[in-house]
Amino acid sequence: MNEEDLISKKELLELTGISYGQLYRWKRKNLIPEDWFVRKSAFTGQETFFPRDKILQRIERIKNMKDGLSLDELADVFSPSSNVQSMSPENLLERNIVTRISLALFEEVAGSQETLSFNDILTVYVLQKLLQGGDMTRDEGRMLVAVMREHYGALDSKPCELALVRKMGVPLLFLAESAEHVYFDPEAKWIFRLPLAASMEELKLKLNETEA
Amino acid sequence: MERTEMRISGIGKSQGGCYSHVRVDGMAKISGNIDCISFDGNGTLTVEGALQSETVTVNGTATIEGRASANRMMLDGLVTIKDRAVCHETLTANGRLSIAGGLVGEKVEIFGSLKTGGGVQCEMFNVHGGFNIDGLLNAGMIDVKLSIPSKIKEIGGDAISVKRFKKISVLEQFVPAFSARLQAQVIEGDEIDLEYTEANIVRGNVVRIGKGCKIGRVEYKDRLIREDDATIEKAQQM
Repeated sequence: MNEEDLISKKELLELTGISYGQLYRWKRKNLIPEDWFVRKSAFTGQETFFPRDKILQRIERIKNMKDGLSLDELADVFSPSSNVQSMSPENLLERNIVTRISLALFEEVAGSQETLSFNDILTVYVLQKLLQGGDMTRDEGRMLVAVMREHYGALDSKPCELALVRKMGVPLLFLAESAEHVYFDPEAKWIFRLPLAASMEELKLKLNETEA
Repeated sequence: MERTEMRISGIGKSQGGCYSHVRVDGMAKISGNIDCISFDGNGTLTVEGALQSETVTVNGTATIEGRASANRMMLDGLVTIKDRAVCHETLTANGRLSIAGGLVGEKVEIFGSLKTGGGVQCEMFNVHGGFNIDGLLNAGMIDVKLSIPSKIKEIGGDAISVKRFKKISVLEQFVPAFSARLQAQVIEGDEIDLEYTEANIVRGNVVRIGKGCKIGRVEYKDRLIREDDATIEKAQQM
């Protein structure tokens, strides 16, 4: 991580206007992950730093949402696991969380199912997002469903990224804990890199919203 | 699964397992993990494994080699946990509690001393006595009444208060090493009220530096109250 990517605790508090008490409270409630607290020695002794973009974005989101949700509910939104266990396809369609087209594509690969687990819901949600965004073809969408069903469980709620690379028209889709340090030959082209944590947050908000 | 009771009176040994109620009067060794609804130990006991129970009560001496987790813990006497401890509601310790790992709780009350090898995280942290915490204490309300020398790396929270429990004893008038003081590297919070504390850095909104403090640097936002007896090398309003 580069020096300029980090923000000191003091600077963070000045910039966002939150207090030490709030920061520590959010840390206790797991709204801010432990590994964002980076310790470094400074002239005053040990100082704590944070990854600048991630923490600013997270604090902005906490500040926006904390009036509507309790801290525990918020913690659930940001946690990499979910307490929504499963939902039926009809229910998902009814609540406008996924569209019929993406669900149909999912069922083409996975077969039709009575209830979808959270991971499956996430798969359909991501699938729909990427298809709608035009980042991905339907064939690649099938690959996505296969990859997610096969391997997402193995990542066991760790934050991970979904990435698509094409070389001479041949797609390669993969899941990685971090695609930060992957390099290809110049003919290969990154099509997209999608951190699943963000999609998961969106999805959980949608699930909670329509529940309430 | 059917849970049965375990009762040991006198001297006994048992395997671990799943039980409803476990009661030990005397001396016992449990070799293995134990999962129960209530755990009562009077006397001397050793659990050679992890302990999980809704309530844990100990009077006497207890050693838990593995992780300890419970909703409520009442520990009177000498308790050693050689891993981390989790207590979802209230942990009350009278005597000496030492935890090799960290402690996560909701309400922690210590009358005596607490020693942990990792951080402590809870909403309420009350101590009458002292502590040695090798890590960060992160708690909403921190209320400390010192009577023995204490040491900690970092404190963070909403309201932090450190005071002395009693008057200076005869012993510590002559031997400064025995005096009830808190040594910390960093203390950060919204409202901070300190006495007899040595710290490199104190940061907060409203900060009171009271009797017997030696602070390297104070950074405050709203107000700094400083008593005559306190030493502050550098104070800065943010």
